[in-house]
Amino acid sequence: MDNKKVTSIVIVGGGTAGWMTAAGLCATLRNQELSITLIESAAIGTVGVGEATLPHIRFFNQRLGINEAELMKATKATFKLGIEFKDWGKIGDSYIHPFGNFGEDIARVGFHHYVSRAAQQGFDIHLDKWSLPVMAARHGKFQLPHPDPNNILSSFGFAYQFDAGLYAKFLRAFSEKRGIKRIEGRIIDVNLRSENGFISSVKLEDGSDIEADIFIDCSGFRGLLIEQALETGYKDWTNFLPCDRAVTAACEHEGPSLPYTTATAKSAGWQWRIPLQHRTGNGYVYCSDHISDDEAAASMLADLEGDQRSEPKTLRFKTGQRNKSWHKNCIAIGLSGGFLEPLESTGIFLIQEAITNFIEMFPTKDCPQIDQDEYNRIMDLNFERVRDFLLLHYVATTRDDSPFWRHIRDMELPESLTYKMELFKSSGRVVSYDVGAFKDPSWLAVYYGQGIIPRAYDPVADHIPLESLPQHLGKVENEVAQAVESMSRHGDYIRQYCNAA
Amino acid sequence: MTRQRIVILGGDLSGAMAAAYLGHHLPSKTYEIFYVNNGPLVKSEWCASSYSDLRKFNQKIKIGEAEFAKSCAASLKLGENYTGWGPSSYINSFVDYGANIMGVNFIDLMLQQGLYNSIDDLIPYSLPVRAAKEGKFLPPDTKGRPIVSDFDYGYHFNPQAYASLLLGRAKSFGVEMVQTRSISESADLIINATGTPLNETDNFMSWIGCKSYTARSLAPQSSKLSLTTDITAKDKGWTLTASDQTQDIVIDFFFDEEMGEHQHHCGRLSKPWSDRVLNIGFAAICVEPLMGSPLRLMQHDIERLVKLFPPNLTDPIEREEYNRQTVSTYDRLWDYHALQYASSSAWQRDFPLTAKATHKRDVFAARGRIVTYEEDMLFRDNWTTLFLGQGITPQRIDPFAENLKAKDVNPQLNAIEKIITQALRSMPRHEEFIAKQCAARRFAYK
Repeated sequence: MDNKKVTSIVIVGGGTAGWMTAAGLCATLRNQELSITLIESAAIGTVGVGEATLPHIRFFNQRLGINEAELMKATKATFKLGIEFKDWGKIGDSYIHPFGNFGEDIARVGFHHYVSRAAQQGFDIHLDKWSLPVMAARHGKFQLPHPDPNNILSSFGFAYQFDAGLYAKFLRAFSEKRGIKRIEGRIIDVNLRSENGFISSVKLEDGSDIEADIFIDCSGFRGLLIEQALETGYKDWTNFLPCDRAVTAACEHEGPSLPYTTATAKSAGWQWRIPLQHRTGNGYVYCSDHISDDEAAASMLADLEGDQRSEPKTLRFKTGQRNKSWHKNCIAIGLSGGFLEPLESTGIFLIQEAITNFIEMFPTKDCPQIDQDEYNRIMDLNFERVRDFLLLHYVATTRDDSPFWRHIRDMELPESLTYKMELFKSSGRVVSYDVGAFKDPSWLAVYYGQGIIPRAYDPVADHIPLESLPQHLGKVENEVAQAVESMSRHGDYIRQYCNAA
Repeated sequence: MTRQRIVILGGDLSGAMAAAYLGHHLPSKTYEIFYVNNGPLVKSEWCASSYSDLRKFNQKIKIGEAEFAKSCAASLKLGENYTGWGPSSYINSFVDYGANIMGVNFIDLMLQQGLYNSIDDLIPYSLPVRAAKEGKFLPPDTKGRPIVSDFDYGYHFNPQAYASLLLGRAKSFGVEMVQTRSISESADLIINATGTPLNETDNFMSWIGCKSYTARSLAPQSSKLSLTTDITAKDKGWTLTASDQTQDIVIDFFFDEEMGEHQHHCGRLSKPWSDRVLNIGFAAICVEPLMGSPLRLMQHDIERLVKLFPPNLTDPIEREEYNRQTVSTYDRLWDYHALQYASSSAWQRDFPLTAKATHKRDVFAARGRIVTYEEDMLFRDNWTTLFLGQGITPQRIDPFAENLKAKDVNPQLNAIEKIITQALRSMPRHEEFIAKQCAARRFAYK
């Protein structure tokens, strides 16, 4: 068995994906006799993917033993309680998709069924007031969750909004301290083994060949190894998610510090606003069929909240997924594995899933097919489920005010999504799954937030007498309001917890 | 507003379970429920041995444990004892083995330390397996230490008595008992629990299992009341033995359809619910009683029905979701049965596997991981026990286990074994426990 043991891994590319992979591998496989080398070239820029994150990243950092306050300081991070979506269901709408539930189940029936029932009697359907993280976000409040799970102040998760470039830098220092070797250089050729087509080595500009048992492709969109060398192929999902470009710029921060990201739907896509400690990140994700690059840049700049701090940068992408995330002895992590627009901040989440699953399925040198199959099965589920969830944001709308929105309206949808929506519209049931970033409360947030209201509710909810329903709902609303009142202001909390300045 | 009419056609145990569960959960203001009595229970012996989650079902319909045990002559079940299926006999219980040590899965750890030669080597680290072998029982102390408090248990019981208990409960929830089926003509929903599908047009998908059986109930054959269902491989099939407080139920299953008194065909409907007819129990699926499967599926189908109950019974979408979840639950559970047959050395016969079952077995054989699919009802180590018990040992181990040192591992293994030994010392014998807590009138082990 020993001669089959993996003894060397080469990671190609040093962006967020590359350094997260390096850090994840060296932290969890530190007892293995394993040499890990990362090759990156300063000449090739990195895409600062997803400056906003999901709560899962905290578990990744904890596993690495990273101190949260230290990390937040180094990456100029703020806390994130969710994402505000503006103008999605229709122009003028606003809702927050939080990291947390809307109320607790009553008699084993989901809280939202009681809301639907009350709505039939004319009550306000907006779920905001029953969610602590939504109300805290709306009031610019934050503090770490209470350790007692019975306390309402424990009823939320949180993530970060940070500078992904600084996160990569932080993880580089972490990894190099733990013996990861970094090589500065550009790859000019990839050598394959004649007998099985595995990658044997990569050739650098200086003529040296770097060999390894396993190669991890973190080279970004172009997929230097997985595509250019191994021709793995790509599933094109632009028929579902037609946006293909983004233009980004940073600006000065205006107003109070907010613990949430904003995604505003626009005439040919949507624009993000991510508040960090020292500046605000912005980007307009658009479809080039419906707006020119110059118009998009102008539109993005016109919506900045403060003085512009960087020149607009345009990125091109093709939404989809590599046919196989793991092919032969190459694993594609990050943009080389697939791209989904950052509407729900899933970029770093998908990187993390890839790393975690690779460690779970850590192979022998011959990369057995069964290991690849299981890994790819899990990654495919992750990608497809995020894809459907993103698509829901575009589909659950009455907007038809531009050619872009009319194109979306007339688009053919994957059956997996139309089915989920039909079930929800009928009686408020969410199609649940185990693998995937977004669970029932996330689907509820978007459905209700974008005006998909069930025609009926769970009949079991009728056990609570109608007369006592307003009292039940009102009680939760008051508890949330009082708890939010008691919380710290987000800006104050950041200053005492992890001030970067 | 007129109430929606639900008619349950009785037959197997699922009818009585549905009557009680629906009666409790569906508001009587909006629903009227009728139960059509249909004589003695169909395949009642197949339901005499449960999985551990029957306890939750009883809790939800407010049936207390002592009440259940006394009126249904229930004994306690810590697992199933498989003899003749693999190289040696093994017990499949309702909890995972041992504990993760330093982040490494227990089985990987045993393999890496060279402590694993056969599944017998795992016994010291399983409280339920040891308690079953010693004939001792005490419910888990929920405030106790993890190893001794996290096991679970099921029952051996009298299904006919359980049906009576459930119907009594159903009546108290307002379910009406009727003798003729004619009421179903005006039903908005017919729940067919007769044991035979109502709509002949439905596709029936066949599986390869046994084809006939003979069931008997006998006076207790042993002076000790077993804590396991015994599943013994024989030349022509296999035999199940389950002992409740007053009798032994014995079912002989045969591959040959001529050998048993009754024929059966393993398989399922492709659409258990179509239009206003919902088939549950043996009308929807015929699966043999390994790991309490038939009873367990009845329970889960009924719970799923309530979870997805259509506010408008003519809407097709909830039906579609019910069918989707139900059929994949059936198929994943059948995977377990098919693997039980296919990986056994007892017979030289062909048992086809689904692609998912093959993948699951191959991943385990290669590297000891249990692949989890959605709608999979069994615990991780139910699968582990099946594979190891039938002689499939992983070729590779978790790379994280590779550098564990015996000096770090051994004290922890010893500690686990010792905690269990101590817990067993204070546990009463199974018979004593029942005599004290929940003996039925005709308890045979006084």
